[in-house]
Amino acid sequence: MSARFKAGDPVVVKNEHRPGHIRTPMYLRGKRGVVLKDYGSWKNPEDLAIGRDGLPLRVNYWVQFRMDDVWNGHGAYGAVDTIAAEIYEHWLEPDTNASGKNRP
Amino acid sequence: MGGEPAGPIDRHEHSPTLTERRIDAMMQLLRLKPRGFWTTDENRRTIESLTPEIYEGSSYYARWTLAMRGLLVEKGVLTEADITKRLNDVKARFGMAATPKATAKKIVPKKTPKTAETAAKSKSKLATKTAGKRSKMP
Repeated sequence: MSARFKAGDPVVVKNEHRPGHIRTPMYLRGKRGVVLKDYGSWKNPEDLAIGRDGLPLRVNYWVQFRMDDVWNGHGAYGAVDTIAAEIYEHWLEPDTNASGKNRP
Repeated sequence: MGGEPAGPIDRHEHSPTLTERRIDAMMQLLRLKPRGFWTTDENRRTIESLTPEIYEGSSYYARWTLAMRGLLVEKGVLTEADITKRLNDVKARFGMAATPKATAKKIVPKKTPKTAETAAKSKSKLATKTAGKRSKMP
């Protein structure tokens, strides 16, 4: 499966809420970040969780976020404080409004 | 944890107890390919489906046990009746009171939302069931 994003691409996590086994952390939904690494294609855990085959494969990315963005400025974080998480491609959209603030 | 205050983290090393090792071994055997009754993600989905009361009131390995129980029934490997009968056989050996049928079914709730009152009841029953050494694993 060809990857939609590459390292350095600004992305925004979909702000979707639905039941099931979802690996996208709640606190990162709707947040802007930047792709650090492409981790390759994997069976979809949301699908595997209900006994299906997990196909088609989904690309998994390591995505970095600024802590200040994640927690909306609550907390004593510096401009360089970040958090990175593994997010599947179907949870990501290109961030067309990236202001350069996605990266620390 | 889960965005809620959870106090300080216990960073002490923890040696698994014999019970925890047995639960771990049981899980590995049930998951071993080619038989492998369920996937990691099904296991996680089942643990995430526990009510907050049961989840918070159970140790790491108690959650595993509840997941195994739920998935064994879900996959048709065992029935609730099989489990209740076996539990009661074991309890009888130790001179303990039998588990009523109705209780056994409430341990791993499916989709029925609970009132705070019934959830608290299950929690106390669960505590009785999983009595013994509790781990402090994350």
